[in-house]
Amino acid sequence: MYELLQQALGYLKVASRYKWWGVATAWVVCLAGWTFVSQMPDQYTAEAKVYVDTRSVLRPLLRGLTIQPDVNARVRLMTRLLFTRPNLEKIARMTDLDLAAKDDEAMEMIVNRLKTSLAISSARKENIYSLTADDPDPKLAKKLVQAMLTVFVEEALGESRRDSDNAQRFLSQQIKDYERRLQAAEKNIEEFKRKHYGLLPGQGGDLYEQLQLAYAQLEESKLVLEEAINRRNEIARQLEDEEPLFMEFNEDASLSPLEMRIQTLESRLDEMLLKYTPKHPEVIALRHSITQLKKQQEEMLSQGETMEDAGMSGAEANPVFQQMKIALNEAEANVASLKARVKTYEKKIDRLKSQMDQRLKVETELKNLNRDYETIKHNYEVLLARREQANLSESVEQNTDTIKFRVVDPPQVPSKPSAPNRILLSVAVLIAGFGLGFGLTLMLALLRPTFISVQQLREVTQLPVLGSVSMNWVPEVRQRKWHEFLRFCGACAGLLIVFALLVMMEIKGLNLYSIDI
Amino acid sequence: MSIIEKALEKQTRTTREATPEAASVAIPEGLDLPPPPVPKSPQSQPVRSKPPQVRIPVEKLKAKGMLSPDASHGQLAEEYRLIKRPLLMNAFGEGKNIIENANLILVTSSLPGEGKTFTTVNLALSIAAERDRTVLLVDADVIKPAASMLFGVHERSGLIDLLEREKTFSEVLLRTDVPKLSILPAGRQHPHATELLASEAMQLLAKDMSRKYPERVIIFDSPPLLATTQAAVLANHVGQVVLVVESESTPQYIVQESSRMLADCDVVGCVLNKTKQGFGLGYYAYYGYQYYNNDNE
Repeated sequence: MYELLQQALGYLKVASRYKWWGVATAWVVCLAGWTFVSQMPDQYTAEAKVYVDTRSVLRPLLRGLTIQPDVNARVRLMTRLLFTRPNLEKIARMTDLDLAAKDDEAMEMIVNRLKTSLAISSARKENIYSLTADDPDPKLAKKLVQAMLTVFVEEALGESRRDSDNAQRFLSQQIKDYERRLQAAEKNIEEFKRKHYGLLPGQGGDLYEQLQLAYAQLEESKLVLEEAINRRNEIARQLEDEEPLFMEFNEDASLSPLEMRIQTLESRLDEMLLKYTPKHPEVIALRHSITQLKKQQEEMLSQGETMEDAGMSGAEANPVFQQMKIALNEAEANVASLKARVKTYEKKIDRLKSQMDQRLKVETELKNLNRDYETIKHNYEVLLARREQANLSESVEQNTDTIKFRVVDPPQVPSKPSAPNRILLSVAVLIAGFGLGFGLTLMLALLRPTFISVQQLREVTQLPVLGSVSMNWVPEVRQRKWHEFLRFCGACAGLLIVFALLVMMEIKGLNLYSIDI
Repeated sequence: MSIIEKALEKQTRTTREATPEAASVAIPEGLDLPPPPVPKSPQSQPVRSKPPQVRIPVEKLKAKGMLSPDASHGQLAEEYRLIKRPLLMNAFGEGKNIIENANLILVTSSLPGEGKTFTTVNLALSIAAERDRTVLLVDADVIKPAASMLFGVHERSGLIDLLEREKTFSEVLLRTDVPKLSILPAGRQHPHATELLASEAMQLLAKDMSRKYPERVIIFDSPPLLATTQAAVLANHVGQVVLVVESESTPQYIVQESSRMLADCDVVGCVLNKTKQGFGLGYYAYYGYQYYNNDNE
């Protein structure tokens, strides 16, 4: 710590060697700085304060019904949007600044200048916006603020209208779109229904019930078929069992149906002969038929001989056997017909099933189509509702004037320049000058170090130090030093005096800029 | 007379007897150097062969703040006592490493104005106060013979004339009213002073002076090292070099440059001149000086 302190003091002492450099630097910097400050052009600032009233009575009443734009956000956005090119150009036109612009580049420069010299600031809580414009010409500054005010108000009001216009246009477009889609969906459904007519649900009765019915019928007929088959089998069995019985009755006048017929016919013939002559047509017919039957009988007999079971023919004459045979035949016929019926039922069931499949497919597809349609319809309705809302909002705004602007502080021609604060700048220049001067000396001292102590000498040169001799302050040397010190003080004082003069002049309002004008 | 005084007298008699032997040593090149002067004892007052040629300007010295022969106390005197001690020990030391021409001391600095002449004259006066030594102050700064001017002898012939063989040593050597101090002025201006100083004549002169006067300290006041080459040349002929550095003024790199130039020399020592009383600088010496000052003033 001690060494550090010593070192620091050493550097300061060495710095004093270069004090003239420092003084010179200070002078140069100060003079240059003051000249610059002096010739800086005055800037006048004109200001206007606007109060934006975003509260209206209708707002809480219409909440939910209409879309309430966030007015605060809008105004904030406005402040930012104010500095876009078109707006700035508008301002330039309103203040006749564009008369000076010959071409695009000059216009560009003017616009850029406006960008830097205009400003809108707002306090957060209060809706008071202050519009400021800086310009060397005070009257122009006021005009600029006026123009800015107009543009600001216009923009804020117009913006909302533009917004709702946009919204409406968008909604209308969307609605048209949806209408188109709705119609297309409806057409689709129509075509579909037409194509699958008959398969649509609700047509041809309830398919499921039909199928159940068919199944029931099938079951029933199957049961009946079973019964019939059983009966037939039973009869067949019984028939076989009956055969031996038939053998005994072989001798009896077993009349086959044929013989019976012949007998009947012959008896009839006899009866007829009683009544009529043999030439009667009926008698002839009867005779014919009898002969035929007899022929048949002969044939059958001949056939019967070829037949293996002689018992058969005998059995034919058995009435029970015959009845049983008839019954068996009937049963067979029944079975056959029942089988046929079962088959029909099965076929019917198959048909119904396939029909059902198809029906289901159609049903599903129809549901899909319907659902699409519903969705489109729903959106369409929503859009319609929104459009109505937007319409209502717009009319609300138009009729109730949501934003109200009130100019609290109108712009005036500024009498005194706002910038630059020359006195402050001059002081800063002075400090900078001294600082730089001092800094320079320090830097020089650091750059060219000298020897302060014997230890230093020993360390740096690595040579033995025989000793140190202290300064002999002979009066001449003292005087010389004293004079030097005085001169140095004089230089610094001179600078301060110049500074004082400058400040006095500035207070009076004299500076290079004012002299130039 | 006490025993001590008797012994001293005896010693002076023996040295006086020894001198004729020294005178008979052959001196090459004909630079006939006179025999070494007898170191004087405080008691004896031998008759001088010549009256002093130069009066020490005591007032001037005092005005410049330098040492003066009579004022032997004070801070400055103490400082130089410190400085001369190692020089003398090197010059007259015994041991294995005997430095060649050790009793030749060159006082130089890196830049002008650092205090060479100041240091040279003070050192000469301080060593002149030594009991057993004599001092010869040679002003080798031919361009600006400050030492010669200080003593008022810059018009006289001196070193250059000696080297040009125009004068003899005894002609240019000047005695002062301080018995142990002699001066050899710079001499006239010469365009080839550097060459002269670099010549063999100078080398031989240095060697001779060193050998012939072993009890004599010869101090050379030279120009700044970096201003001319004369000092560097001279540094080769002498045994010890004292580099004067001005405190808070000479940049370090310059001093380093000088020390590099003196790298070939056997003994180089530094003296920090013009130190200012600072924050703790001279802290310990302060009391010493005060002690002395209060006592004697």
